[in-house]
Amino acid sequence: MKNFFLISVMMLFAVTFAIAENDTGDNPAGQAIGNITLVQNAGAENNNTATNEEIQEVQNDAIDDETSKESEIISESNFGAKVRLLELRKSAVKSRIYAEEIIKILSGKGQTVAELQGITEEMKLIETELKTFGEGANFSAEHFVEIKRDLKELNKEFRDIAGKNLTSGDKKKLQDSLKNNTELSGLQDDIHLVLKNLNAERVGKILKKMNKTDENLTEEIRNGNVSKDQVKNKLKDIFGKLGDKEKEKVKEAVKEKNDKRIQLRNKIAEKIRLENVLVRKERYLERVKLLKSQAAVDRVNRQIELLNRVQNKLSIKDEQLSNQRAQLQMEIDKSEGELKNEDAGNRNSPSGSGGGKK
Amino acid sequence: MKKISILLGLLIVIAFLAGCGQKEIQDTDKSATQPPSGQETSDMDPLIQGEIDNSLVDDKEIDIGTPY
Repeated sequence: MKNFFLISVMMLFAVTFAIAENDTGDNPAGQAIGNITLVQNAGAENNNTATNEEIQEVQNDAIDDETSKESEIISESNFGAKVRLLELRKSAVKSRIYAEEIIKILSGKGQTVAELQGITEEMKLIETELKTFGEGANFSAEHFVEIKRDLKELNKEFRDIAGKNLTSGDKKKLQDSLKNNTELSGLQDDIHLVLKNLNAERVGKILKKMNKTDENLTEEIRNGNVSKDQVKNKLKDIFGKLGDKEKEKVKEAVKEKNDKRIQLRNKIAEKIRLENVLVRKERYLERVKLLKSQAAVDRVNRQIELLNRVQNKLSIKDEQLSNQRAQLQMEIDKSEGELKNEDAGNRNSPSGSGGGKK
Repeated sequence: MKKISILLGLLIVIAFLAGCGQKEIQDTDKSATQPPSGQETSDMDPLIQGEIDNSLVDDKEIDIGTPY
């Protein structure tokens, strides 16, 4: 009996150790993406398979914590999606203005700028892509994450080529190039307007959890006539006047919503990691059809080649992922629906500030 | 006696690993509900305080770096 117990404990220890070992990510036999483990191709390395460093590079930049948090409000409401879409557009426009200015400066110095022009052409295509989302109804957290990553990468490549050739005087000139830009100021005005509506909507949701309404307050937020501190104090006052039972109910509702939000964020991140290689490749394949600059075509083709090699190495097959993607998408849609529906009554009321995402 | 010593040793290791795992879960839970640092605290429930403090969204510069 003693021996049996001893063997059981040792087995438990071995299992615990094995799990811990697997969590370190050093497992050379496989790479975990989301819930599935993709077994690396056996056999010698060749040109059709990526190195471990390349795989890590592609997988690690799928999504970071900051981006995950930023994308959270996209799933929350149509205003949330629109504000992030506009903010991303603003950053993209800024980068493109800088890039065009740098090309002018370097051309003036007689330097070759073909590669930089190619990157700028890609930046413009991304701006066009962002514009196609219009009011943000179809702009998802996944779009945000992928496009943000793409812009970051283009900026980095541009910087690596151009940065060393710019003097401090050139950089000063670049900062001035943003001044009085009507496109940027127009976007900034749009952002402020949507933010007011988003904040009115969010305050409406909190009030609803307290079983209260305050149309004056939400209207004042929408009109920009009330400061952030004033709103917070008002909400604290209202909460403070609630009875103990009501306070407890509010706490439960807030906790439930936070849990749902975290679950949704994790599911979206899992889906992005799962389909990272395929989605990115699809976007590059679409883009390469639209590019005119040979330098840009070459750059994108190099990326496609890298992703093909990563895909080969990880044995990622479309059919292998399709079921999991569909399952995760169903869960995401359900969670998003729950989060949006919790204040459906508020949106339909006169104090509500617009419908949810379509 | 020797077997009992091994058994005790293993149990201590397992308890330690389980404790580490539990602490990690607790830390994750805490960070999900705590209000952002630097914000005022009061005798209000931290969950509600965090909810109210985070109720309003500020304009955010999406950091994609610069081309220079």
